[in-house]
Amino acid sequence: MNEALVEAKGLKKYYPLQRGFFSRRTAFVKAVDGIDLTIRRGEILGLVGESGCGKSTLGRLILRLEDPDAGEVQFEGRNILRLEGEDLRKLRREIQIIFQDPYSSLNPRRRIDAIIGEPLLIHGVAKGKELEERVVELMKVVGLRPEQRFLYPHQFSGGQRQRIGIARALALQPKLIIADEPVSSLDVSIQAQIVNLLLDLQSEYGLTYLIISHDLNLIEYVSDWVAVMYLGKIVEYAKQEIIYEKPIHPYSEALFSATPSLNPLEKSKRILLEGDVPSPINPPSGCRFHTRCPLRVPICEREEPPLSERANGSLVACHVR
Amino acid sequence: MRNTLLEIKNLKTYFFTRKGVVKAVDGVDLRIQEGETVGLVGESGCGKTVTALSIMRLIPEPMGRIVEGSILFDGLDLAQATETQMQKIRGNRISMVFQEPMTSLNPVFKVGFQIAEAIKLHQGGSNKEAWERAIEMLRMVGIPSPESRVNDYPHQMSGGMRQRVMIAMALSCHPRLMIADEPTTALDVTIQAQILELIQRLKEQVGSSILLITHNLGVVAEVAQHVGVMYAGHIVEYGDVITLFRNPKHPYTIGLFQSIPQKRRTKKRDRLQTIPGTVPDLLGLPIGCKFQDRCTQVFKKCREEPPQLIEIESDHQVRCWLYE
Repeated sequence: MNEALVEAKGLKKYYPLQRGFFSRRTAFVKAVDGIDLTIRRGEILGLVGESGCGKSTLGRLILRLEDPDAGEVQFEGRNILRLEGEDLRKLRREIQIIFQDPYSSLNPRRRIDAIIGEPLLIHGVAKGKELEERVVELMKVVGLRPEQRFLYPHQFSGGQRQRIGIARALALQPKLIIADEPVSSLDVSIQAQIVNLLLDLQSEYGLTYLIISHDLNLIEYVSDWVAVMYLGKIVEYAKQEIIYEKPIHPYSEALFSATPSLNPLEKSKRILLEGDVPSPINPPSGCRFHTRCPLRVPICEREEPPLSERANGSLVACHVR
Repeated sequence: MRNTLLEIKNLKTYFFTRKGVVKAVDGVDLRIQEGETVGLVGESGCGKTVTALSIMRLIPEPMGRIVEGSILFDGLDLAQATETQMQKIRGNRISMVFQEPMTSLNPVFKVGFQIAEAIKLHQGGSNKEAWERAIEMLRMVGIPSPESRVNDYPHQMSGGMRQRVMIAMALSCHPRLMIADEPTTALDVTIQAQILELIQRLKEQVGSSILLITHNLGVVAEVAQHVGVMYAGHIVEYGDVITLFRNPKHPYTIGLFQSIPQKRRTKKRDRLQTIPGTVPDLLGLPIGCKFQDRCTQVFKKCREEPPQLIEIESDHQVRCWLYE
């Protein structure tokens, strides 16, 4: 097992809801509500969950695009929340992000060479002739033709734009890349190309990935570790082969069973959950999943289950299992 | 063999733009039998939605137009039908559920009013009767306490609930055919599972046929009996869902299946199979087979002549020169 590259402890992020102009802040959206998470060097951690469960917020906290309200994030043993000035700038080179929507994450008024070269320029890594050489090299690495560097984003297809985003993320030779739904806005045949590129880059540069996605097939294919989130909490954290074989938490189980199978004869034994995901503004008491859980017992309503280790090495937050 | 409910023959719907003629649908043949679900799959821009809008005659004219072909529904050719005839069919005998449940409901009316409106228009009756029917429909699609929910505005409901309302509205007049265009794409997987289950159950209850448009092959496997795979404006493979999923023949279909991650890669260096290139620009399609530039098995004939849809085994057709 590889050593930890990132270790998050007790992370919380609440967004205040302003109710009217004069009123005081009365409520919070508890996007991330007490999360411990380990990302190991050279491995891929898949983070899954439904919309609004806080997976993107968690990614942004690790990147320090946002400051948490509580908790800490250790990156190579340093607490990144304490970093300032030059140290923080250095950290920015180590962690990069690939966004979901390749249409809105590239500046439409800038040429591709400027977009890919910008991080190098900002961090003073290269300029002039050397900068151009680096940009050409990066474009080749992600499968774009160097002469395309004089074009603008609108002249590229979705898949190519995602390649541009990846080239930009790679420019500073980061150690960790956070990919937030990297392929979900692309067509199926293009998704596979981008997934392969991400995997190639990982083995070539020894990268570590946090891949955030709601696509359970994708996560199964790429991940070494999987974390399942529900309403701001991690409910299960396990090795990929263990969790896909037999998820322990009833939510993970229902989530995995809900994914349609490609075999028409294997009409899945779906566990249908009742109702919708509750609002993160007023999450249910005790275990947040108890309102939809088929296995709930009285204690689930009162007490929040801690994430605890099970016989198979997984961490699970459930009273019943 | 069941009766044919809808038969599309050589449908061509073109858009006349300033840059040229976009052949969004270019020779689609499709048959839907009574009581069955047909899945139509393909990537963005392949013409699946335009096919659906052609059936409903909702193509924005004069930019777009059905230029050729017929859509036979219950003895009437919808491609030739007048607007008055279509108004009697739309929402009544053929109804449609759209992808985005937020934008397809009117935000300023109560959901009950929107369902009742369709019922009154097509089936008559008093306001009160229509309102009662609306409550009944909401109950049928599994909305809890429908008596009070009927007074909700769309923004007071979650995405899954809104999609249920859309389905309630679509089924309120017991249509013969329901067209569902990406009905679960905007929803989370656990909610998607609920909606698919609901569509299945209601199909049996109401006895409608369903044309399900999606890019998700898993959804098709789950609910459809027949499946058509579209590429660049026409169907490249069509068949019974079990046969086609077990034994896909067209290089594009094969490529689609291979590019979906299924099991974990066993070795670190395992990669997904991909289809090279991108979906072609509909303004400049090549002569011959439209898939030629991305096909790994392309040969001379593919570049010269467009292949026809041919039957390679019972209930399984492919448009590819490899099987000629």
